[in-house]
Amino acid sequence: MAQLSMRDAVNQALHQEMARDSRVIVLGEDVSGGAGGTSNEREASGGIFGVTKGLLPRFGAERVIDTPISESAIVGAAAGAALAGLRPVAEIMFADFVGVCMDQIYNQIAKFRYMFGGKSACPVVIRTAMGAGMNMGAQHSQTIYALLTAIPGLKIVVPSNAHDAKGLMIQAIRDDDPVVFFEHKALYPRKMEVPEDPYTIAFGEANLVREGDAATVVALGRMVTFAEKALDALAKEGIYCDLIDPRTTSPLDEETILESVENTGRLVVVDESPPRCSVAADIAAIVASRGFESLRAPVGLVTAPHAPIPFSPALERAWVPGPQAIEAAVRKVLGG
Amino acid sequence: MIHAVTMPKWGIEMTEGTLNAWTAREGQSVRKGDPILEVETDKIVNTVEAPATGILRRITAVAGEVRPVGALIAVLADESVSDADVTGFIEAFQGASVMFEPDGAIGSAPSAGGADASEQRVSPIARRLAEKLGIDVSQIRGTGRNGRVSKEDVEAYAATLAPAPNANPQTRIKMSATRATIARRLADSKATIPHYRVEIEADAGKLQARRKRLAADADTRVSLNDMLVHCAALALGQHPQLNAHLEGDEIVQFARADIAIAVATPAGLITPVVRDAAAKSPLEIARIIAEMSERARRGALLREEISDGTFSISNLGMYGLTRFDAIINPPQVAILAVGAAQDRVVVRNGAPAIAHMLTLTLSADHRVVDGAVAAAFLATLREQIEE
Repeated sequence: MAQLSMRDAVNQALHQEMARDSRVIVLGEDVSGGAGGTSNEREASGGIFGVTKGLLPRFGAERVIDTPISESAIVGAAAGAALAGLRPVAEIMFADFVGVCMDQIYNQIAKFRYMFGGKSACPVVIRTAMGAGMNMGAQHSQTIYALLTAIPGLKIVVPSNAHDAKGLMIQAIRDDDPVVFFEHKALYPRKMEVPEDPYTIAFGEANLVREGDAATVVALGRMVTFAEKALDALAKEGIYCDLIDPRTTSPLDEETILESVENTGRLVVVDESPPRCSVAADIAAIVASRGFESLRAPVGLVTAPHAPIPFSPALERAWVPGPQAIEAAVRKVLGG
Repeated sequence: MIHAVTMPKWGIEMTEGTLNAWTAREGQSVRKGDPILEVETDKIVNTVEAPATGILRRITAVAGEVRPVGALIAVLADESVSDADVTGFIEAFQGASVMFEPDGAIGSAPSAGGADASEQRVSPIARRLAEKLGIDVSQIRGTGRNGRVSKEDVEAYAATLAPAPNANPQTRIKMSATRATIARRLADSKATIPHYRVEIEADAGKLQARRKRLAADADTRVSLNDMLVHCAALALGQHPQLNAHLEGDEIVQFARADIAIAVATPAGLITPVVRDAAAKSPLEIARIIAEMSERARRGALLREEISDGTFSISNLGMYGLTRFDAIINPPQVAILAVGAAQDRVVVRNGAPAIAHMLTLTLSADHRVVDGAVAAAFLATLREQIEE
């Protein structure tokens, strides 16, 4: 099996779905190439992160559309195209820019199917890059999936690795509901074995990444890789934990989390977001209200502080929850 | 003033740069903004400008070398700064690695990748349980979201499976309300009351003889226990500390001894109460206990007939056991456990003799009853029995 980075795994998913289904189109800023390359070839880079590389020469400018810098126009055009029968994959370059097109997302695409009594569908995928740790400042580093998870009518995907990203992206494109797909920038270069053939991963199905009965750790996106590091360190002392990667925050695989906590009695939630109204707080609330009798310790939350993301590299490193904080939180719920 | 010249970060994913060529020499004066160096990344070649005005005092990376973003490549300072200070600055420079800590270039393969949208949905915890139990999940009909198989579904399915051939056959009995009450009250008593026991042996020969006389005269069957209930009631009259309830931080002592008798019934332990047992004759007590025990076994006792005892007696002598101890029935503060009356060899006036002996074990609540009080009660009770 080929080793693919998450960047290339998403790229492969886009190539395969565009080849399979002529209704699939891609639109966004610089999706055809761009990124300040010096070759003057439009398809040179495939966007600033290279995720849409090679789509323009293969599928043409009618299906790979560079847009003006207007997120509202990008999502609005995608919404209209979806209502008209296409399957658009719109790119918002940074998740932070979702604020600019919020009405299109939460009041339009999220509502169509419901308000038209199920007679229409709006199969839009919004791809967007998120995450801190790359010294990109407060307006280009946020993980705002909690904001969109709160909106009924949207499906929210937060992959933690290349394998899942490919299967989840193909599922997102084939899904009849609007999907927002958050790609963590720090995970783009990370490689793993990814099957060549297309495959789907169902939404609302968590992945059990590590197993053990000492505690349950739930982590999302890049935090899964940090939780793996923390749990590997604890495993050397004989402390084994369930590590659950929900993969989608809406639908959320509440059952797997509750079932695991039923076994372990202890929960730590890791989220690269400020704590208030976060997915971490949401999961803690679900377990507190529906699994309280299983809990043998207060739920441990490992989150960023309630502060914007600093530009200073040293401060940014302190802002991002790291493996040490996760390890400490697990020890704390174990009574250490 | 000393200024560091560091490898710039020109792109989102730029982690390092190659020094193409210095356009300024070491020792040269430069003004802020002057081009001093060309750096090449994997995307572009660009000029690095002097961050301040001064003399390019030291170059720490030569053309052709690769340096990470944030690394020191030169030092700018004016003439007043000594060479030693420049060297010290270089040695102390820690730089700022602007890049994120590498997450590890290679990820591990997902443990349960699959979950293809078209396949049967199974929670990973349910799948793990099914594997542990050796159950094929495809046999289980899921009741969860999207017909998904939950941990509960696996547990329910496992319960329906025929037990393994060498398994011990089981019968599961749901606790009756009575059993559940007994369980709760006794667990509570054992957990919260500081029990201790004192024990005494009594010669029941005379009591047994009296019982036989009574039984012969009456049409009622009189047991040794009926006689003992009467004796205990008389002894309690002299030791009111044991004829009591503990209610919160108050000890309630009762004038009458209302003695609860432990009766085994098919539904569990029932304790009918003989009111004012000291004022009743052993024959009366025998009739009352016989009648109430019969109704207890039918479940026909009234609530008030089993409530508000002030002291309890439990007798397992009919099974031939010599001694045992009992758990206090709160809010009472003591319970007497009575073993079988047996002919035993005892020492009398320095010689072995045969006597009809009885062992009495009193469990008491130390919060209310001190050891000396319990001992004194048992001594009195022995006198009652032996006279």
